[in-house]
Amino acid sequence: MGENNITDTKNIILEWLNKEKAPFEIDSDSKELIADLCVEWQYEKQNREKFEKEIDKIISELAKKQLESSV
Amino acid sequence: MRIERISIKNFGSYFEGPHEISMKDTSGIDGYAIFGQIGRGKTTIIKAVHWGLYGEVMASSIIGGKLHEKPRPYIDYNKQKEGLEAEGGWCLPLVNNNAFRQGFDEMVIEVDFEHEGSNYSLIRIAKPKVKNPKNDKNMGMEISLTMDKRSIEKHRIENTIEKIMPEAISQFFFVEVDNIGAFSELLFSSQNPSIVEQVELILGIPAIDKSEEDFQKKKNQHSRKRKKLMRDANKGKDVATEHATCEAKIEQAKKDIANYREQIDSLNHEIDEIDEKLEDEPTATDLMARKKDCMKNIEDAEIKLKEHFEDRRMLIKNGFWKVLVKKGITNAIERLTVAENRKEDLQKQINLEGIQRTHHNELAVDKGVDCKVCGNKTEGSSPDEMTKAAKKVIELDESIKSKQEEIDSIGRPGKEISGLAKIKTNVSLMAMDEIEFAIGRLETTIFNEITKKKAVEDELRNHDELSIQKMKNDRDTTMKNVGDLEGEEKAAIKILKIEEEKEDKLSTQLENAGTQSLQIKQLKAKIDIYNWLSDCFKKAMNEFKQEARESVQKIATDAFMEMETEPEKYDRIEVGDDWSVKLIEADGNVAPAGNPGTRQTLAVCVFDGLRRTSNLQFPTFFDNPGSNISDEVIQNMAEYFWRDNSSQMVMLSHSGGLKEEETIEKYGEKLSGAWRVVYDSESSSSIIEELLMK
Repeated sequence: MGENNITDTKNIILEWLNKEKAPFEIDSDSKELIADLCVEWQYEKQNREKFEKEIDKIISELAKKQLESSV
Repeated sequence: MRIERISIKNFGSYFEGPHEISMKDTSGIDGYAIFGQIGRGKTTIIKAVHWGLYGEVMASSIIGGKLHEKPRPYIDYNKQKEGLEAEGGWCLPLVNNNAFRQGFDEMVIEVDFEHEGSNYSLIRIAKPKVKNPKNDKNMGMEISLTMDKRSIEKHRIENTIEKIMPEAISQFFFVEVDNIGAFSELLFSSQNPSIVEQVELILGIPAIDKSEEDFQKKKNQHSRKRKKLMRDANKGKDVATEHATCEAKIEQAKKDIANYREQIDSLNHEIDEIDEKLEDEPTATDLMARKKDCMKNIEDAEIKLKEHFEDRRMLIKNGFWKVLVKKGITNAIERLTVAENRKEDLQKQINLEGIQRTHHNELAVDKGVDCKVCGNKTEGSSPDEMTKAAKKVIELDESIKSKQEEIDSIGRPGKEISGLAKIKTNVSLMAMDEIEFAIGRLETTIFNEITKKKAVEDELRNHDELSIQKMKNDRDTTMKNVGDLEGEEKAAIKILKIEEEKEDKLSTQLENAGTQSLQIKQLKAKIDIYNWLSDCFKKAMNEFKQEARESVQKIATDAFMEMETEPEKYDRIEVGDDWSVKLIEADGNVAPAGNPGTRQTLAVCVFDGLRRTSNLQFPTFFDNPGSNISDEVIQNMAEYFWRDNSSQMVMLSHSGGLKEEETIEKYGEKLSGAWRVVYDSESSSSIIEELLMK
């Protein structure tokens, strides 16, 4: 957890996204984008619709790319 | 983020203004102190910064054992103008009283701060919209924020501040004594959802767990949508109809389970309430037991009393006459001692007079002597002297005779004294004293127990055994209902499981039933990604929580060892999975957390552990850290916080905490600035005076 025992949420998220096998190839920019969004919205408890929308946009794009590449 | 300037006008106890604190010149040191007696306006500085940043200041009060919180109003017409005590008087208005009475034009807070290399200047103003504002509806608020002298658009200001320093975690940086007190209580009561939420918020845990919840939600949404699309694609086929029925059953089972759970929780709550009432209500059995105890105590005391009476009787029987004559013996011994002393005195006088008589007798017959050897001649007494000496001899003879007669009349008191003394020492008066004391004590015990017994008997007479029995019956019935509902819930869970398994098979059949549209395929890919994300985040969560907990534990322990006056007594601070805190002693036992000073010190250390673990570089305002903490620990605390220059640390202390002169003398080198807050009656305002540093 860093040099001084300090937590870094984003790094831990990225570490696990890289460690666990994804259902298909997910580029590092998208992973970074997902981690950033999660950290950015961490203090928002109630109105998370915008977060969901933004995440879904990234995921839709990934799914679309995957289908295009598999055709 | 570090605050460089605070300016206050017409806020709280600060009338007119600006009243300023500048923390620009740090010379690499970021420790500050603000001194002032209680009620002079120290905490108002923190409130002012908070209002400047977030436009709201909450007031809290414990009423009827419950914590109440509400935003402080700008003005309170009844209180400030009419002097009336409004309902909820603990919620003080923000605008200065004098300013309000004199028709103020504005209340202004300015905060200049630096964040990630940029300089920000924030101005928040509250202004009356009408000439004589009566309530907050008549007030307006304006805000402006510049970043490196460039204005930030109005609609983006709140969001910008929230990104720099989120309000939700601000209480970990604007630490008021109330926070510490409340936090120290919460720390020791595990499973408190409020504390868990706050702690996890500052550590950034919601970035993982909230996101994971959202991923699950999205996955379920897409999954439902995909299944519907697949059913539509296979419309008319049995598998589609069956799948739709199955899904309806699943929905129904889920609703049933939620419904049963709600009822079970509500009934369990009722049981808890009955239990609480029953705990307060003594049963007839309890009362009878108490009465029995009283009777037993009376009986025991009476037996002992009887024994002591017997002892007293025996003591009187076997020589109590000695007790009765003891005082007379003592008096007699005293008188005999006086006589003995007189006898000795008279004897001494007789001896002296005997010597004098011999001398005078020689004078009465002395005719002089001629020495035949040396020829010297001594002169004898004259006839007058001889007559005088003879008279003296007669006088002395009479005196000796009279004294001898007195001695004879005194007899032998010494012998009598020794006889009486033997009798006196044999009398056991002490034993009698003890017996009398024990008897008195037992009689008091019996009286008290009889009073207690009477009170229990009264309680028994007024006791409503029927209502207690009714409560017990209600409890039993409710318990039975809970049991029944749990059975229903179990059955619904079983149905859900069966239907889910069925639905799973039907879904596979649906998938294989025909070609899938692109939309269905896309949804499948999205569900797979959400599944993967959810999995990753769950694992990240476990690791993150564990590491964060260990970090908080380590930092808090190090801080505690440095602040505590007897660190050798302790081994560590242990932070549980639910963020509850235990102090472990050197011998491995859990230290009792009864001392409020220790609890507050622990809370400060855990606060610091959370603050540092969060890696958020925010200024920290510590207001009167721990009212119950000893002077020595407070000093260690100041030393600990001021030594660390990783973030700005402002300690506010009243006269009962850090002493102004002593602190400047001792920690002057570690401070970049210090102020004294006083109340100036002439200007009817709190005033901030800068103190000269060493």
